[in-house]
Amino acid sequence: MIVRTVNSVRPFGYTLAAIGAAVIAGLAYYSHQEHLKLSDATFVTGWVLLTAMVSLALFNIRKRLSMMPMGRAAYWLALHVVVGLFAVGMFIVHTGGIWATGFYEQVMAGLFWATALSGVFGWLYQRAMPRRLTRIGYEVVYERIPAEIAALREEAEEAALEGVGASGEPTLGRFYSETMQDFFRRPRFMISHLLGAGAAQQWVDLRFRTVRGLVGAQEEPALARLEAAARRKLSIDAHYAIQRSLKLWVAVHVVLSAAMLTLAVWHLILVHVYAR
Amino acid sequence: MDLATRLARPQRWDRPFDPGMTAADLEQLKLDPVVAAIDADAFPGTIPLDGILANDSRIIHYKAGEIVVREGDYGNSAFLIMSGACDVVVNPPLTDAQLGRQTEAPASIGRAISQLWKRTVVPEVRDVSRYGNIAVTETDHQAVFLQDYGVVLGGRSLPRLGAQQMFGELAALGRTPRAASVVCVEDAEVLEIRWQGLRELRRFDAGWRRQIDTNYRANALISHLQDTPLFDGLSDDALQSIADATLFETYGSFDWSSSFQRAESDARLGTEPVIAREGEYPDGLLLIRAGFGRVSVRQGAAERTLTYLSAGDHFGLSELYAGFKGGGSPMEATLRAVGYADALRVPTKVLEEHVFPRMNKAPDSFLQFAARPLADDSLQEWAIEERFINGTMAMLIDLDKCVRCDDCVRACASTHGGNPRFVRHGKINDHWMVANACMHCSDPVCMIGCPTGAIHRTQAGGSVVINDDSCIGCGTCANSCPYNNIRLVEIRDLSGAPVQDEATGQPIRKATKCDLCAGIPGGPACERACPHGALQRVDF
Amino acid sequence: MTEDKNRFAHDRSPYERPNFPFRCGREAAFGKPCPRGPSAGGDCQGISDCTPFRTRKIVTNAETGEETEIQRWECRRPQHAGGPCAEGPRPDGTCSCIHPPCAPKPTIRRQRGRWAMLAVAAMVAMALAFVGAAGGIIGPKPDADGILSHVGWPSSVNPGPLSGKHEQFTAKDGCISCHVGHSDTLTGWAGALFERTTISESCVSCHSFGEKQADADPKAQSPMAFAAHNTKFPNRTDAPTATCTGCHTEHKGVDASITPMEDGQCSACHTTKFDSFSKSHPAFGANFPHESARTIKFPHGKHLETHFVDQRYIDKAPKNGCVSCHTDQVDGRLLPGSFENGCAACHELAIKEQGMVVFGLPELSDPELTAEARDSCGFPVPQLEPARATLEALAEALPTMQALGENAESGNLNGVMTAVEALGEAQAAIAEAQDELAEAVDMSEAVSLDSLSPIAAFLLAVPADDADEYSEAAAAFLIAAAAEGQAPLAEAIDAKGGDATALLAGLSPELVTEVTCAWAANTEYEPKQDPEPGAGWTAQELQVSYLPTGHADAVTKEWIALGLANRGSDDEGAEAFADLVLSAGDGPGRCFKCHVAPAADAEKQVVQWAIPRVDVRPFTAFNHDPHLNVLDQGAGCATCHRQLEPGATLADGQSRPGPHANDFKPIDQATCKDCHRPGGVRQDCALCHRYHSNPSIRKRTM
Repeated sequence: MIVRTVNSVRPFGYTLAAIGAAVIAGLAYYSHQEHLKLSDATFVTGWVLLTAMVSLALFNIRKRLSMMPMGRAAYWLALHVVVGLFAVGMFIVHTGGIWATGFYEQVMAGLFWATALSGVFGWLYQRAMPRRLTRIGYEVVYERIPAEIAALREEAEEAALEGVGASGEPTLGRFYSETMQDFFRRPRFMISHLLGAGAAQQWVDLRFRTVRGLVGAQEEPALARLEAAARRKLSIDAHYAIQRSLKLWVAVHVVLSAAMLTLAVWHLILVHVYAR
Repeated sequence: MDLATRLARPQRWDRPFDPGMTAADLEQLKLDPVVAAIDADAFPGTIPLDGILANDSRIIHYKAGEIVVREGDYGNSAFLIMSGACDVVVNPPLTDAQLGRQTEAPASIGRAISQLWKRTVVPEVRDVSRYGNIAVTETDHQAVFLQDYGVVLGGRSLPRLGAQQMFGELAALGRTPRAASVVCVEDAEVLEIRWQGLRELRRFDAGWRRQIDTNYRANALISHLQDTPLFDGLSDDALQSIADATLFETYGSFDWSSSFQRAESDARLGTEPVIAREGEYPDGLLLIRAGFGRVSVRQGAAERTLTYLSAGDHFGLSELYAGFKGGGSPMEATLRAVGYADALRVPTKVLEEHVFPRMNKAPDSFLQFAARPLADDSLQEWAIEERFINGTMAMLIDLDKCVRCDDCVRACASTHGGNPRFVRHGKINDHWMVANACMHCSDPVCMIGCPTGAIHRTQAGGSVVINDDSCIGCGTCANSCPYNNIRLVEIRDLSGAPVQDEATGQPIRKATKCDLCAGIPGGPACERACPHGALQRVDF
Repeated sequence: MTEDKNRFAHDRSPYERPNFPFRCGREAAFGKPCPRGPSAGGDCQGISDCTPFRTRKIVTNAETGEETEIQRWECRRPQHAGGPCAEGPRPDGTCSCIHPPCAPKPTIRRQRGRWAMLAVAAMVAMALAFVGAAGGIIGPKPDADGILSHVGWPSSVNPGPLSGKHEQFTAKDGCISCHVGHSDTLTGWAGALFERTTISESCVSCHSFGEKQADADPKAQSPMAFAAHNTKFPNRTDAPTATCTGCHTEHKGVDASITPMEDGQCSACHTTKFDSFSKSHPAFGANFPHESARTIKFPHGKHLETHFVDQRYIDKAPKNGCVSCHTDQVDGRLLPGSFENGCAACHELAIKEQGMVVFGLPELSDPELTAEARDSCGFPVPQLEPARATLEALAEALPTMQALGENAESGNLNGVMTAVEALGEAQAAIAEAQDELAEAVDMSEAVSLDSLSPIAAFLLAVPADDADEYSEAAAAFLIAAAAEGQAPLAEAIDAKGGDATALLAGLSPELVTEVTCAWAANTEYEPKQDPEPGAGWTAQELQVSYLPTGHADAVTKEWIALGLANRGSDDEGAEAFADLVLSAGDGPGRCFKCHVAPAADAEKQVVQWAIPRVDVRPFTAFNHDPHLNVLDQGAGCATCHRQLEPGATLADGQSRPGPHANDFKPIDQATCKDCHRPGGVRQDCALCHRYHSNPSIRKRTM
């Protein structure tokens, strides 16, 4: 009934990974042979590594060229992941180890590993987080979160005022200004939502349970409204925390890779001036 | 303090079907017997008959051998032959080669690349100089001839249409593809009426209404029956006898979208009209011609949906066959119209005479779907409830894969000069979201009511697109769309200033929606741009 | 609050535009965007809510028919922004709903792009800031001595600290010491980017491999430096070219080793490839390690088994085994030390004892010569008068005898009687003279040698044993010697091409004169004291001899050299002379008992006295020390150096240079493999083999 497109990205990825592993093994062997011949293959492996890194950067360019038939982004992502792992292997073959000596080379190595590890982290993170987002139960577009929170803020204020107006008691008003106002001001409990812990939920539960004991029947509907707004806010906060972390991670990865590539170009220049 | 560009607000007849039609032509037209028979008084003052004739119709002169309409094309016009004769080519139909079918303007890589510099950071920029008095026609009259039409068509007894005969109205009104190709065998003078005008004519003139309905029975039904796999291999005579016996039934409202929007989802099933009820005895085979039907069975105190039917599906075959084999059997399930359903009922007797003797194997029963666990119903139920079954290219997002990166929206924007054509939100069931992107419905209700015909189906492919040049921004399509997939935008000129109506100062708006990236090679950019394969355009 | 079902409505949810660089600030904050949105540059455009529209209406006054135009400004705020405002525009046509401008917020992609640009700029700045540890844009400058200290300063050019030694010696000039492409200017760098240079060429500006120091041009490429093993192998014209950087990589840290070498790398050039030493190293040479010619004949077996255990010599025998004598480490060989240390205790005396006769006083055939010699010595010659008188008397008596004879024949008794009387007188005179003569000269023995000494015979170029042949030359020689001392000897030596000063060093002329005169007096020369062994020039009886003063006596060596120089020549006596000096038993000092004389047909007739200290295996370096320390005490050196069994010879003993067969077996590779094997001690190539031949540092760097 529902037509689903065949997911052929996975075999594509595996095939690429096999090819990449073979290339690394071949280049490692070639590098060793050159070493035995009192020559060295660092120029070859360096260019391969640079090509790999530039092709990794092309992913960002492809994303801006969606109007052209450049191939499905899902394949590009598989390519990006595989070439990224390939670049890690190539880095080890090129440097002959894990780290480097010298100030700028250590900065470069550090950036490389930071980029690579952030990439691995991100790939795993992106596989885990969507399910968390879906489970929150309420979907919101990231850019609309401030608007939704503003709306909830108004709703909450109205509910508090309604409660005060309905009963004449200042309870709900006081509750709002003491406790809930800060809560509705902006996204809260970021870390708890990020980790999937229940701190925020418990916070809301406790406070409303407490106040429920203090309100009468006339204020009950307003309290219910306020509570509904607070619970909706929890969903939005969770979305905010997780979506923001997803976007932040990408930013970190891109920024690190930009710095990495800059230094790689610098390294290219230096090597050609000094070592060739 | 003019910060905006001013334009005259487009009116309904701002773009006449034939801008070259003169008053003399109109007078000439009104001499045609069929046209003359129309009672001009029945038409309201805002939509005078003359206005319709002048703006919503045009006179075309066809040469002998020229193809007027091609089978399978989507068309928005009906044709009234004023003089000359045309053959309706049915069974076998003309081939694509004979029809001179050319593909639509191929998706051009050049157009794709040009998007790179066409992007702006001002939303909805239009080159307003294009909006002048450009006659809008979805296709210009390109004469396509059938080669050796005398040889191809001669020797075949084909239905011939002559003066005062009309064709093509069913495709225009029913938003379905042309049922058959029509070729002129003599030089002919034809009045082409676009469906906005046809709609008014049918609405206000009883004669036309009757004519159109009769035509349907006479012409389209045979084609439809021929297309039904159940009747494969039957002789023309058998088909004819079936056609003669078939009854038309219409359930629900043609304008179902508005009632859909009003009703709450829980109550919808209760409002759906019943076509056949479980437990009753079948009174013939039901064929769904258009619209959708829901097949359900009683489950305790409620009804459980087993599946849904769309155009081309049949209902009741297994029960009738069981009855044919021996012993009557009641309907195993209930069939309801979802929104709107056009059904054909083929009497049992005809089936027993022509069809059942040829069947060796009992047809599958709908009860096979009953074996599915009850709790797994949600996705299907939801799809039917929300009428997503209407969509042929619904944007389905797997929320368990989507990282909310908005690459799909950016990709959509990149193919439309920086303006996205959908919003990444929509109704959610479990981890599936159907986003607010045009689903290119098989029953596009948005097309009902467009005053200028700006929203139309493309010749081939059948996707629903809006012609920006002729859209007047009335918002009818946006309000009609039951899924909120069409959005009106305020346009800006090239400098970024808002374009306003020079008469009232109100901003000029245009309707926009997903057009499946027409003109861009590779298909919808959104699907291609999702790095996690979360977004798919699916046919429900 | 139930979910707002109309959140998605087309008039309530406009398009999101993540592809735009900016979003309206108010939208970002609380979702109520202005209708206009931000400009491309990120400025707020929504200060006013709408653009008021002026409507014009013509109103005709029904009564007067007058037409007036009524103009009004109307608010045109769009529906989704709230529809027309209540206040309407101001009279001058401006919008009355004015807001302070928002701060448009950059969208995510733009923000990310900005950060990326910032990161790129930061990296470029970092690279330029720390560029050059040799006075770059920002960097340490050389101090007053011109020394640039790199340590501790982060560099965006230097890929790592140099090894300690290189750091020390390149600190003054910096990077350009090795990297020709290094430059302070951008154009310099740009040029270097496209030029191919090798660092190896810079290495030889300090490191040399055997070129003569004086004419080594640091800039010129040294052909040897880039040959395999830094040397030319004549029979390997296909030997590959090596570069320094092929094995040596720098910038790995102060304490890093820049000379790591893997076994596999040796196989790169060597055609004989093998896995490891213990598996398949090619066999050592058949005579390993005794390939070179012997220069000292030392029968180890005889000494070790016989002499050293002999009770007579046991106190002189070496106490510490092999290393008592083998004390000199030279290029991996443990050579015997000096004669003084090892051999003198037993053999010194024998050397000093055996002298050579330089010249002996021969029997001359012609007595006249003797008289001349006697003259020059200044001896009195009493025996000459009686001799003369005898002869005169005889001479006088002769005619008388003749007259007697005649008278006898003629019967002249008177005459006969007179003659007889004369004769009787003569006879008495003769007898008298004879008695005197007998007193003066005892001619019973002639004190002289039978023959000329071989040396003298050679020098005078006369046969040694034929008196008639040699007498004249010998007499002349002796007469001159009697008068002038060793001058004639020196002349004779010069005539034969020898260096008289060296050969006669230490010889006093008086000695020569005294000996000659003693012979002239037919006496034996009696030296003041008896010549001791090692006395040098001595004379005794009828000979002048030379006794070597000790081992390596210079004069002896000169005479041996002279003998060798004339060996094989056709000169009279050269053969005998050479044989004498080269004789193991009779030669002066008995040198050739132990030393090896060159072969008769050898081209260079020069004696290799000392064991040569040349490196016979320049590319192998064996160190005895670690091995000595671990050998078991019992076998000691014999673990590897095993003696031949008495009487046994090596299979190819004939092929070895040198006259004497070695009395040690070649060292068996299996002995090494006992320890140098997997699971045992190191067995990598670099342990035993060296790559560079004659590495040294050029003078200019010191």
